[in-house]
Amino acid sequence: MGLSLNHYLVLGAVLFCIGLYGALAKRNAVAVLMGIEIMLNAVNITMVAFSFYNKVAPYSTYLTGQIFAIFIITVAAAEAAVALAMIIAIYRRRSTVDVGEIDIMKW
Amino acid sequence: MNHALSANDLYLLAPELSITLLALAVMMVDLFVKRRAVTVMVALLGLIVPAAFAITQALTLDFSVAHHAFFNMLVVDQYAIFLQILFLIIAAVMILASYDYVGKYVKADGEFYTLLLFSVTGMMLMASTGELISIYISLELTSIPLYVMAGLIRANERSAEAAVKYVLLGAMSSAILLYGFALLYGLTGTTDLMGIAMLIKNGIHTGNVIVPLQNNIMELVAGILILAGFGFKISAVPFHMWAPDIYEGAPTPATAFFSVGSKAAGFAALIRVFIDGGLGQVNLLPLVIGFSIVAILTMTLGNFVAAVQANVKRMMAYSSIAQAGYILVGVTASLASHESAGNSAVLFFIFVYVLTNLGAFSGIIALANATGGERIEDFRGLAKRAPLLSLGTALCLLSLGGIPPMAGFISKILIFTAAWGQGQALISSGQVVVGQSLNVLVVVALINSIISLVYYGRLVKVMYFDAPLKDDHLSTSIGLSSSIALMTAALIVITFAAQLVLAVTSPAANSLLAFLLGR
Repeated sequence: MGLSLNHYLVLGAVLFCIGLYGALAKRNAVAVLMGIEIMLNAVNITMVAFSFYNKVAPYSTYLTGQIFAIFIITVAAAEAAVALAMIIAIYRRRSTVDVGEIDIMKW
Repeated sequence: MNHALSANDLYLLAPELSITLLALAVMMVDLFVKRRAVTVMVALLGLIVPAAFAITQALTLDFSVAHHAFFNMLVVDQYAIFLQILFLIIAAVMILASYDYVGKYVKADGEFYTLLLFSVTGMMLMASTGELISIYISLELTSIPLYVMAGLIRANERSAEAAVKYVLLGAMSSAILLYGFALLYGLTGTTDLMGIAMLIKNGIHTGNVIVPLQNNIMELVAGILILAGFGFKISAVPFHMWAPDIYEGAPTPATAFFSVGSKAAGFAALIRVFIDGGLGQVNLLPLVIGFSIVAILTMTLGNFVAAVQANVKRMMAYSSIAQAGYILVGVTASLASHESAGNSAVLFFIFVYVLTNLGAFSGIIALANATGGERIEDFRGLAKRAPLLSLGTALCLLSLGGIPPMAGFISKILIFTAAWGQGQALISSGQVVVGQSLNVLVVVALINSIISLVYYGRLVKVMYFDAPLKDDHLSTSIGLSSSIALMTAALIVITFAAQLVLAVTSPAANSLLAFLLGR
C-alpha cells in the first residue's frame, strides 16, 4: 500500500495540533515561537499534498500549493525575525522570556 | 491567457505602487535629513499621489465590467477603491495626530512613519486582492509593521510586553488562518476567490463525476478556521485577548492606528473571502450560527468589560471590540442573503467608525499629553481646561455610543434595519432558522448599544460635570488639534449628509456581489 493523500493530511493535522498545543501550553516565548513554526510547517505539508493530488479540472496542472508553501516559508522567516527581536528586547528589560511572568498588564 | 504585463495592469496597481515608493522615499529622507518636520511633510504631501490615483480610477474606470490584473490577484472594484481611500485618510490623520507624541516619546520617528506607510500599503492590498496567496501576503505586510510599531518605545516595559504578546498571538492567528486557506484550497483546487465561488456553487468535477459540496464538513471547518484567523485581526471575542493589553502598552498613536486600520483591513479581507469566495452558498446555517455566536459574544463582552475599566485606553480597546460586534451583525446579514443593503450598511458603519474613533483617539492623545494621565479621573473637568478639545472628543464619543442624531446613530440604524429586514425576508422565504438568528442578533445588538451609553456617557460626564483638577488652560499642538477638528467636522457633515456617503457605499457593496449574482 503506497502513500495516499490521506496520509499526508493526517500528518499535517497531527503536526498542526502538536504545534497549537506547544504554542498555547509552553511558557518559554521561544518555545511558543517554535510551536507556531510547527503549525506553519503543518500547513505547508497540507498545501503541497493537496497540490500534488489536485484533480480539479483546469487547476490540476498548476503548482499553486507549492508556490503558496514557498511564500509561507518566506513570510514565516520574516515573522520569526521580528518575534525574536521582540523577545530579545523584553529579555533585556526583564531578564526573562517566560510568558507567564510577562504580565504587567492584565484585566 | 495573456501572460504579458500591460500598462493597464500597472495603472490598476498604481495606488499601491505609489504608496510603496512613498514609504521608501520617507525612509531615505529620514536617513539624510534628520528633521522630523521634513519627514512628516514628505509623508503627508506624498499621500496625495496614491489618493489621486485612487480617485482617478474611481472616476475613469468603467465599473460595468470587472477589472482584474496579475491573474486575478488584483481586483479593482468600487469596494476596493472605497476602502483604499479610507485607508489613505487613516494614514493622513495618523501622521498629523502622531507628530508631537512621536517626537516626545518614540525616539525613532522616521521608522514610525515608514512602518505606518508600509502597513497602509498592506491594508490597501487587502481590500483589493481576490486570491488567497496575495491575501495572506498583504495580511502579513499589514501586520509585521504593526508588531514593530507596538514595541517602538524601547525604554518602556509595557511597550515591549505589548509587542511580544502581539507578535506571538498574531503569528498564531495567521497559522490558523492559513490552515483554513489550505483546506479551502484542497477542496476546490484553486486559490482564486472567483474560482472558489464557482466551484462551491456548482460542485467539483473530479474526472467525470461532479461532487456537490452541500453538507461538506471540510468546507465548514475551513470557514470556521478562516473566521477564527480573521477574528484575531478584527479583535472579535474569543480571539480578542490581545487587544486590551496591546492597546494599553503600545504608543497611543499606534493604538489608534490598530483600532481603526487593522480592524478595517481585517473586515475588508474577511468580507472579500466570505462574500466573494461564496462560502455561504452551501452549509449556510452552521456558518450563520457561528458568525452569530461570535458577534453576540463580541458585543456583550466588549460592552460589559468596557464599562468597568479605569484606564481610558483600555476602555477604548473594549469599546472597539464591541464596535466590531456591530459590524459582524451586518456581515452576518450579508452572508445570509446576498443583498447589498447589509454590505452597504457595513461599509457606511466602518467609514463612520474609522472617522469617529480617530477623532476620539486624537482627543484622548491630546488630553492625556496635556494632563500626563490616562486614567478616567485624570479627565475630570477638562471641559473647563480645554473647551474646544473636549467638545470635539465628546462629540466623537457620543457618536460612537450612537446618540441620535449623530452619524454613529445613523450607521447603527442602517445595520440593524438591514439585518432585521433580511431576517424577515429569509423567514418568509422558508429559511426560518437563519432568519431567526439574524433577528436575535439585532435584538442583542440593540440592548448592547444601550449598555454602551454607560461608559461613553461616563467619560463625557466626567469631562463636563466634574470639578476640574487644576484651574489652568491646556493648550495642544497644531497637528493634533487640526486632526480633531477635521474628524469632528467630518462627523458633523456625515450626520447631515449621510446620503452622500451612502451614494458611494451602495455601488461599492453592489460591486462586491456583482460576480456572485452573475451580473
